[in-house]
Amino acid sequence: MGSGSSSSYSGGGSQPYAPSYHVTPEMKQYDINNGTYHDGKYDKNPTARKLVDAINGDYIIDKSYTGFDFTYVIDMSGNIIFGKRNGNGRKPAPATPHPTLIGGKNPEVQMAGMLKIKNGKILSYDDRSGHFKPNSQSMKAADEAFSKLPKSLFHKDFKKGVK
Amino acid sequence: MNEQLNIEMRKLFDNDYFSDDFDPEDNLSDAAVKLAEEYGWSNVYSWFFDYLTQECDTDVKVYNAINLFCAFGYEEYPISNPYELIGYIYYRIDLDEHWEEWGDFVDSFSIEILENCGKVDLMKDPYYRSWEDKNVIAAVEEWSKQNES
Repeated sequence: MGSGSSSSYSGGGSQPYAPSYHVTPEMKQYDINNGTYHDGKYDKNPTARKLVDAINGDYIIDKSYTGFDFTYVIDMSGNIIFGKRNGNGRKPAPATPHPTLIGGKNPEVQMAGMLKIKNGKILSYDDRSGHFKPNSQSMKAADEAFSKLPKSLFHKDFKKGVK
Repeated sequence: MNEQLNIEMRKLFDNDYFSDDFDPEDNLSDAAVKLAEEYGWSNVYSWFFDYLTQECDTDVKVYNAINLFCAFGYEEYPISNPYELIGYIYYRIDLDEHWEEWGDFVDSFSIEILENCGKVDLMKDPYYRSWEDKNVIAAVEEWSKQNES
């Protein structure tokens, strides 16, 4: 499996490299203004789960499971946590961006980005998170976490971190 | 319409994506890519667009077709008028009725198509929702007018 170390986020600049990241101040303020951050915290995305808990044989969920815009983070324990962008569905409810994969007052992650799953297999993961803006050097944290997964979970066209 | 292309494309799209017998990794995606190389992507997409908009006249058919489209890797190819495609999908698929089972994929598919065409950037607009896009809404209205006249 490839390293997946290609940074594809170039808009707005990433944060300086660090072992962990918090939500950037401007995005936190944006979330306060739009209600995503309320009562002093981010809600937890109801669809957030450890990727390993979604493994079903050689598939994530099942062979028809496909989505190109899952959010993922590497939490401080090295777990891959992923979830749906529309974690609260279409109903009027706070949005569920990256910080909601962890939730709480000040979510902290080793890495954050977008995950694509096609036909139940991992197609790609990258470093695109407008909330955490991780440095591309932190792809190694993602690589380390994803490398622990069975190779059978990766799509034959696995993109190695490139959008 | 190239008759051989038509025959080959039907081998791909006359499949039930959700059938236990369907395996997209069973050489079909390789065949799909080869068709794009041999006949040109514009011809392949033209076939798909006609197939989708002229033969897929129910939400179930549309949902199956776009899942197959992705299974074959075609979501990565550029589309000159993505809103026309996405508009038809939203015209046929009522998300108020089918959000729970189909909504996430329809939105995700739409975003993937639009990002690959440079129309959307989730990093600049992390709260983007395709069903709220004015261009998508306009395209749906256009399909409604066409099909009512």
